[in-house]
Amino acid sequence: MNLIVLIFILILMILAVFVVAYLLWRLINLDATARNIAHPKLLSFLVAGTQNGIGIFTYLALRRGHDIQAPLDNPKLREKLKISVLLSYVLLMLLTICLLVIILKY
Amino acid sequence: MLIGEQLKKIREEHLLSQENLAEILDVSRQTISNWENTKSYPDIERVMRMSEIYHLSLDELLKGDTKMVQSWLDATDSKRTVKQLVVLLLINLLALIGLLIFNQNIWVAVSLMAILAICVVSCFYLLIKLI
Repeated sequence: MNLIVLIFILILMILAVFVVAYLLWRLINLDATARNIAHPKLLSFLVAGTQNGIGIFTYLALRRGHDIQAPLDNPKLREKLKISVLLSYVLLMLLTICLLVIILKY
Repeated sequence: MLIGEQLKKIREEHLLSQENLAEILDVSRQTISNWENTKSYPDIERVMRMSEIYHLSLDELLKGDTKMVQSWLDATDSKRTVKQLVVLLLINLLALIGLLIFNQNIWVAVSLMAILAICVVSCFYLLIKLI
């Protein structure tokens, strides 16, 4: 029974990881496009694919000097994506805690 | 002149109602009212949009409202964000050490894990906020 729950949580966690990565990809892609940075899709893929937030740090350093060009931006979508990515990350954390609790308990 | 008064004056000159402008900028009417009463400041993107709508340069639109510029600087203060990140990472480290020591007591372990998760989410939030 515990093994089934464990596998179920693990599958949900993997799904949550992909959702976070996808939403982050969209957010970075939107920001990079609004800033007219070259190869926004590739860049956002690289940023979303890294762990420990190092990709985001690198992106923040890279985008210096590239100002937002208002006509290319979509503030509504940007805010929506920020909220979505945070919520999915919170979900991922909760699933991680559940997984660790089960592992620690049994 | 404060930015609020300035925004109200320019909006009225362009014969726009608060509702019209709110619709164009994709914010609520209350938000426009708050800007005009200097209860809050518009973000840089919205100011840029307004400068486009009114065909004014940012310089003309802001007219020396240093308070608002300061609020933007605070919002993008990367130094402060870095400090907050360092504090959060230290708490994270302590929680992790605590978890290694007290992992026999399930409730202590769960509490430490919750702290750990809150710190990680907070770090992530700070980074996302900067984007």
